[in-house]
Amino acid sequence: MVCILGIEGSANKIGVGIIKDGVVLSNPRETFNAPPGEGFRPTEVAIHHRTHCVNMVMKALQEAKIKEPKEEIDGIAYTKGPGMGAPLQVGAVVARTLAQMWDKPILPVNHCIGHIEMGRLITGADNPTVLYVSGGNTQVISYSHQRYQIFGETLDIAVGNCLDRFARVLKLSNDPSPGYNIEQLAKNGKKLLMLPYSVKGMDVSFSGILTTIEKNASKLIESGEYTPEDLCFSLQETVFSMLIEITERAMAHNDSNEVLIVGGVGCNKRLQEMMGKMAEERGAKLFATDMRFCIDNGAMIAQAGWEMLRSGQYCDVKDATFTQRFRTDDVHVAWRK
Amino acid sequence: MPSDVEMTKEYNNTTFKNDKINGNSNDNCDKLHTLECRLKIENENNAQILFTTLNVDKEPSRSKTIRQLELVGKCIVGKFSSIDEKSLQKSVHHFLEMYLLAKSTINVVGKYKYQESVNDEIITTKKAKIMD
Repeated sequence: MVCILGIEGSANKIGVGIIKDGVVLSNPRETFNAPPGEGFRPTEVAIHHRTHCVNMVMKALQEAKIKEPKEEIDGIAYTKGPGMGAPLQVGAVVARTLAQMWDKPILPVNHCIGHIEMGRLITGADNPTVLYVSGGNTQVISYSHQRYQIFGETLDIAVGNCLDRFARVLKLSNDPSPGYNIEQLAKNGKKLLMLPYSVKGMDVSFSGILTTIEKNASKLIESGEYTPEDLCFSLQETVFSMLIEITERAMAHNDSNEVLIVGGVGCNKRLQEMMGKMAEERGAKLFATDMRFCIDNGAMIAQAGWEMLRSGQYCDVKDATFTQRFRTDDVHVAWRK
Repeated sequence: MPSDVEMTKEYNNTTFKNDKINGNSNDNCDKLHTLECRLKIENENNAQILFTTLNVDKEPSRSKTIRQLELVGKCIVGKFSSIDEKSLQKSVHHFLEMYLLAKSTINVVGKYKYQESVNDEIITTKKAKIMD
């Protein structure tokens, strides 16, 4: 029996999760929401995380019914990167302190691999082509030779970043998330606005699309030619089609018959629907998780940490640093054959 | 017993040398600002934990401040030096924030005691693996 406590705080969500041999015992989470029209800034997010992190640890232990943490917890996992610097440090500091208090190994987890491992655990996908889409990352990943290899990715901003920034233009609420609010508006959209379609082989680019729709949004809405719902609908159709295309290209290249969507944008039902259709036409199977695990959470870090502990990939507390850039394919995946 | 923060006076330390200060080191020494703080912790074990936790992170590369940490008995001694007062202020502020976070982790989590919950149904152990 191996029980891992994981701490995740690389963006605007602070979460602590406890996993014991594939079972999520607890997974509390707090989200920092900026006012409408604004994004969250590293300093403000770090203050939020410092305020809530210790309480999240207490809540996680309580909900998991841990009676004696020193005896029952076997390792402390934290997000080493990638992410925002100041928020990452909060998770790292708390993890280092707990690891020393309880005299347990500390496990530096890559955020992207946390998403992948939780996606694999929850869905049971064996060796899927992975589409990892969030506010900070957009990658098509496939496992090969002890690495999660990046076959395609965004060349500029993440797709979630594009959606979030367009939500700011429309002054949509950031609660529960701007991407969710765009999704709700898009359901009522009827008219498609043509936007740049920027697939570049296996890679994608979103900055041109964002600039186009940002620049034209106000006058299109004022003229009555398009509604905000139409613009949200159009943006989703365009960027999601691009993601489906590069994912399909990777599946064809790898002869893969499984596709897994992870990351916060993976919550989007329209994206899942479009991916499901592509998978069906290819005779492949789509895997996706729900809001509890799509969105950044502590349990996904605990799960990746669980795998790392099993393969002996822990480190000394004095080496438990954090880094804002941490490539998915930099990690040696010793726990897979 | 709460720990005390003892702040020494800001002073020019012409004897301070470090690789980061080169070239016109004499001129820079004249403008060097330093700050030393001593954080007293209730016992040596906690002091060691806090020191190790805080000593891992280096100053950001864009920072103009040089930081040295020492563990002296039950005290963590932080020495900060910079040619830029604003950078010095930010470094000391950030260091104390991280110190207080680590300390509250020890104080709060260290006193953790499991409470039997009356709402057992809300707190449910669920098999994470969802079968199709």
